[in-house]
Amino acid sequence: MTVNLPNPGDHARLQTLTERYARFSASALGLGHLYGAAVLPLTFLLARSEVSAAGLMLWAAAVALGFIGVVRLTRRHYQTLGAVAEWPRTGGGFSWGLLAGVGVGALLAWLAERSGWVTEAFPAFRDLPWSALLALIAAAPAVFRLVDQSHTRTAGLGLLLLGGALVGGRSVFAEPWRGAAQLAVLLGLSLFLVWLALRQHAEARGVAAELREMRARLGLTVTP
Amino acid sequence: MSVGDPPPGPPDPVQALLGLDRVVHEPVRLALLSLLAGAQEAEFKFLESALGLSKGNLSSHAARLEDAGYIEVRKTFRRKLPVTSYRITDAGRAALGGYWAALREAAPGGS
Repeated sequence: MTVNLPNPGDHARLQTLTERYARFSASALGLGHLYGAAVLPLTFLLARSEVSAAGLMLWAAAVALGFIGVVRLTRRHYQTLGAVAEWPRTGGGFSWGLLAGVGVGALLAWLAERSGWVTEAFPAFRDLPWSALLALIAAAPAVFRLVDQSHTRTAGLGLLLLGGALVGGRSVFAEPWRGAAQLAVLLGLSLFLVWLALRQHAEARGVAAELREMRARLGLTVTP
Repeated sequence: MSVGDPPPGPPDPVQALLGLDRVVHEPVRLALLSLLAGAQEAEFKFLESALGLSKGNLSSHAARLEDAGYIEVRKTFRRKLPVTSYRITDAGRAALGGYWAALREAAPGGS
């Protein structure tokens, strides 16, 4: 007599695939990283150009809020088999802490600039885009509220990078190589985000395809 | 152990097989529990797509698991459309773990 028993390996694989699918269904940005890859260098170049402070402020707020749309689009894109909630990870506290830290840091920097200390010690930062940074800080709570908690860490880091691109773009260094180095770092980051987007996208497709294949491996009835 | 008792031997595989949790042992329900063990909550559509089952078939297996207390059902609305989601309970997780442990005992060399 033979007894067909289930293979624990197949079921462990099924559980792992669900965990990975849940990550894309809920928190992984996948192709959404392309948004960061595009807006970071654009923000830097815009800050470096002669765009007014008000224009820069609007741009910063629009980019921050645009992230919400990107999150919603990517979530829909990666829920081809249906929505799955992943096990909650820490992230919300980190982003709010980050925001509080950046807010306090910006306030201290503003006070230092008002006292004339910044322009003396760091002449390159004599034209810091305060209004745009303020717009970012003001938009952050809305972004954190309107994306799921699983996305707040990404949002927090994204806003921090955006702030860095704004400050970097507005800084004026005496040595030209410093400006070129800033741009190179930003372009490197951009390329990394493109790579991450493509890698995660391929992984998400692979996970969905393997989940479909598992039906046959588990010997379940397949309906057309 | 007294002098007259038989020495303890290896566990009887047949007894171990007969002792398997029948609710979990059914292939579709076992796959359902394995899927749900990997996530906090999964929509009906996901389980349907991943397992390739008809709605009725999936519903009946899910109901059986729910009756056993192994999964919980949550019904909500999204844009006025009903959405059914499932999550594994602690009892379900324990049952799944116990099932694999019992199976290892029954067939230590694999299936």
